[in-house]
Amino acid sequence: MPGSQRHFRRCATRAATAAFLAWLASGCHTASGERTRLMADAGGDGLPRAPHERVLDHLRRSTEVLPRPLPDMHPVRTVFNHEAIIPPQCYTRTEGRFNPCYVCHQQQQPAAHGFVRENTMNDDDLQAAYSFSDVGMTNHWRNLFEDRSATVAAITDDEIRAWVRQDNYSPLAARLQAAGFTGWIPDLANLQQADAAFDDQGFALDGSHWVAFNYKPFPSTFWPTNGATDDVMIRLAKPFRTDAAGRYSADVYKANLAIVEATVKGLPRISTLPVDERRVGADLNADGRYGTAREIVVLDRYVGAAADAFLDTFLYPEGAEFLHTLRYLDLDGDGEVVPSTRMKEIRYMRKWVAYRKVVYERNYQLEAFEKELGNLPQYVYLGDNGLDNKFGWSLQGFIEDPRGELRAATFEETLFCMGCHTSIGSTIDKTFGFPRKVDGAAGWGYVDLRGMPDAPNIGESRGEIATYLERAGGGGEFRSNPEMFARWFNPDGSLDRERVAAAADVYELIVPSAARALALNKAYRAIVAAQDYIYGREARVQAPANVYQRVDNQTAPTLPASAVHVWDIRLDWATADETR
Amino acid sequence: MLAGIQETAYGDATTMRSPTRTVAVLATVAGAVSALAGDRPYFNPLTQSTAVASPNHINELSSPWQVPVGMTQRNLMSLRKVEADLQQSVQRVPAGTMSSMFDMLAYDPSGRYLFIPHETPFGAGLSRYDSATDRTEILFAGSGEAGADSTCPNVACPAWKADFAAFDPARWTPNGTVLLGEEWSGLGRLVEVLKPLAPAPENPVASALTPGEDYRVLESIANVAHEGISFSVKYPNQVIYYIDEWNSGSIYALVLKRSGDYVGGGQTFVLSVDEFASSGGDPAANWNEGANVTAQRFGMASWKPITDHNGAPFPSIADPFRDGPTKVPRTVAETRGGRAAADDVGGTPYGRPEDMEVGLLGNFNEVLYVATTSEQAVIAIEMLGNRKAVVRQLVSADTPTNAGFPATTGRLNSPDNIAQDALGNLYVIEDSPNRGDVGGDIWFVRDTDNDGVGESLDHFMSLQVAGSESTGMIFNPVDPTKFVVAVQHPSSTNLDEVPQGMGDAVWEFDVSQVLPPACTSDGLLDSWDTGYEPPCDEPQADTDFTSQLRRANDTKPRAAHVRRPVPPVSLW
Repeated sequence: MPGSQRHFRRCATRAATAAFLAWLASGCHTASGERTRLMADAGGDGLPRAPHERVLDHLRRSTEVLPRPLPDMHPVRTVFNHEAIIPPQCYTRTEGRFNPCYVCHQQQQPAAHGFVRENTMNDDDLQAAYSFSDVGMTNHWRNLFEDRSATVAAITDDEIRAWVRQDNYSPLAARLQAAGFTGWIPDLANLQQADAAFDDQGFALDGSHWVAFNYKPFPSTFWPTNGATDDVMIRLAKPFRTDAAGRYSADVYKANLAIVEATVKGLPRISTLPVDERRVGADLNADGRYGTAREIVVLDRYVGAAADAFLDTFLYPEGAEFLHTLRYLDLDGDGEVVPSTRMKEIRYMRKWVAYRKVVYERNYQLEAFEKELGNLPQYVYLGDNGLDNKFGWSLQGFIEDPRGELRAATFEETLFCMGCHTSIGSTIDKTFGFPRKVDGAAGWGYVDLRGMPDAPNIGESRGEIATYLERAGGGGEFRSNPEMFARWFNPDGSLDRERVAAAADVYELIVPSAARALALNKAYRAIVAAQDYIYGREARVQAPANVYQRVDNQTAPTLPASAVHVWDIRLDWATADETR
Repeated sequence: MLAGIQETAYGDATTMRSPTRTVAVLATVAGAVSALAGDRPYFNPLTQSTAVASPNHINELSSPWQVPVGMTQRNLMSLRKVEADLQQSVQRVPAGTMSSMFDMLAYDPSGRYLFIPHETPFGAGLSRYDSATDRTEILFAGSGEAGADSTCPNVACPAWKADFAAFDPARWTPNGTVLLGEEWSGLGRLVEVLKPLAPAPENPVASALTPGEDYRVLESIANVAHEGISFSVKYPNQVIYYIDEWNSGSIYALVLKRSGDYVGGGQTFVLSVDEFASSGGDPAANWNEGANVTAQRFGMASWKPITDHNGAPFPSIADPFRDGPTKVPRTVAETRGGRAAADDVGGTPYGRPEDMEVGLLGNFNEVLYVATTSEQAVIAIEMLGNRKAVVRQLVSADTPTNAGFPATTGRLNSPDNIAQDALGNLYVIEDSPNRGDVGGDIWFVRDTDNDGVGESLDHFMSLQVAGSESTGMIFNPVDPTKFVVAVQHPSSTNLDEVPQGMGDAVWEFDVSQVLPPACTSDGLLDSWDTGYEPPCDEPQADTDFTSQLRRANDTKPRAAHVRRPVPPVSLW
């Protein structure tokens, strides 16, 4: 090729390349071209606004049940806190001696009855020391540090009472359907009425097959004194409710619920609501004849149409669902704290795939690998079905919009759920409430803290709450609940063991006074108005004293080995009953 | 026919890189020609890791990767496509996004067949894609009944030891067979599928096949968490390299007693850096644990035997052929034997060795490239003969990226797979995104002097499919401008959650039309204001990159180890 011709072509290439480079530099070649749009969406100061801020702007204005703040952007790109899976409680100051962390961070529990736990997260080192990623070392939950005294003072008691008694649940299903929502739509009628939606055995009165159970709230975020009441319902998939011929059978359902409970708790036997063995077609209590079983000892298989379903200890069967509502603290006519009609949140889990333990082990291994590499946590986004926790479960939720109507939670609001339901060592198959259910037949029914004993955890002798208060050095993970201090601690900061032991029941131990309940409701109302759940959703009037705004893994105090505790999430209800 | 296959079988992994080689590029845009040194990227490197898109997004369906300008990508097969055709089959077990788990692909020497191993937690298998008929069929499959923990106490839990699980590598052998290895599930076995080009069996489940005729478990290979497994360039019928994918993982070599006889076994060795022990190293500990943080894991090394010449385990060390789950050897006695044996002889631990490639350095010494995922690096192990070697770091997260080109937001993160083109250029494939909102990347390794130490990582591709990783990149042995990569475990594989999901898929790429970096009229690479202007070569029509690839492919295996005298294996 002659030199001049070669030179001409070279120049032509340069021109073409320059055009490509300009295109590349523009960012327009990205999957969605969002960079271009990002730059175009400037704030009042002319500077581009971050995606999460634009999401918040949208949420504050929106009345949609299905908000789509930035529809052309993958929601993971709108995330403010990529370590949202680290809850605010993890930033509590342990001061080298207090340990509120042990209820989450545990080694794999030793086998009992020959049954091996599925949870191999093995993270008890996090009791002793902070171990955050670079991103995680900054506490992104800035709402914790907001003083809401003035806001709370501006809301009257009557206003907040009226607020929490409004029903924001009933309209939700129809609104979701109208919006074309494709995820789970609340299908339990009258749930806003709390216990009135269920019969005495916990079965939903509307025939939706949801079953309420009575459990001890997990320490200590779910203690009412720290902001909310809650309830949890379970539902098993259709084969677990039907006989071999495909007909609904209450006996089959009751038997399978009991088998699931024994399986998840790793128990060798379990009491059950009365089951007619003839209708089930199995000698569940192994007494050699068909009769009415009140105990099940044959626990190696499910019954009815689910007889061939995969079963392994500490694992739920495929298709299991959980429905969890978080509510305000209402007061009844006697001044008792009760669940409000208004719901703060509805949380839903469904087990899509029944992975075997070997898969759990692998996923925990990968979790450790990724953490070691410094990679931030990632979860598969399932659109309206929420997020996949990598262990077969999806999680989705609904939360209040600025008017108090429930709406679908955003990607980041759901991301917040993933840490506790994925990567902590104490849970059983990613759940908290069900493993803590009152054992057997006595535990079916709507949650009721009145009359509930402070059962110890398995392997311990003292009550769980009494133990926790002492180990945590406070009435919650933040160690900053003044009412709990006043009630249960001596002036020198030590636990008043006698007073704790004298408490009549769990209600007395962990339910706040009416005044505190009203104040916490008002504080949360302020967060609802701001819609900034991504900055934290803890109902707090004032900033907690014992929480870091930033943690340095290298310099923050660590706990001595003597303050690190082995702990089983399960409760020893039998011992508690004997003690009483 | 078979002999022909044998001659070229190892071609894709046996290329030589000359330190003085120069490659120019034929520009196809605007009909212009430009040129640059072949050691530098022949493409315009990307400037960012790409944003991920939702399951079944148009990006996943039509162009899963962001690629350099001019490069093409097309779908060869996917779960959705195969499962929509009753005449085709592909392994799928009930395990959500892990239901099929395409992993390290292998070509047959003709480039017609592509072998897809399934890294499923149970019921692992091998599928074969036929590019001539555009059909996929299962060749081999575990029973799928397994999956329970080995300690599962319930009668409902099947006897999982009978099943095969987590096949990570597929590797075409010089014998015309395909190797499969169990990684994180199963028992750490290596399985040889003996008739990979025969018609697919009517019932591909292992229990319906004939052991020894259709497949066999190779007891001569130590039980480890298998991933990378490669044949020597110089001794392709005599030396097999493999790794243990673990955070105290070692690197192994099997020297066969008889050429090409995998069953007959031979002597197994483990790589041990000479100063590792004297610098306080603990072979049983993780690479970054305790004294290993400061222990010497690079430099001169020796291959230490863990068996005798016949493959018999030494009495003083653990049995390397012990089946078992992958556990920490210090606490679980029944763990896979290869790991414990390596610890017993002082094998140097690396941070999750994963894939490997074998090539030649500029001095014609054989080199093993091993991705050490947890170390964010790729190491190069130069074979010196007489069971000696030297370990260097080829690239790491500290290696400059896009040197001389516009910068990229990407960084090397979780390097997992390695691929090699016909010219010996290496590509490093990440198994994980840099962040949750951007996809994993593929990097081109620039090693200009071909000494096993890279000078730059150039951003080659970026995956934009949510929840997935790139895997199995391998160049076509006949058409060297083409290569394939799989999308592994995307969200869309879980049909419960993503109805009509595309699922795991294999895509083919062609670099022949890629737009090369531009040169200025003064013969310098246009540096786009970076201040660095490396010289360009004059364009030569017969030295464009595509031609170079094709010529190298036509003449390998060839240059290095056929024409050159091959030393006796005793000198290995």
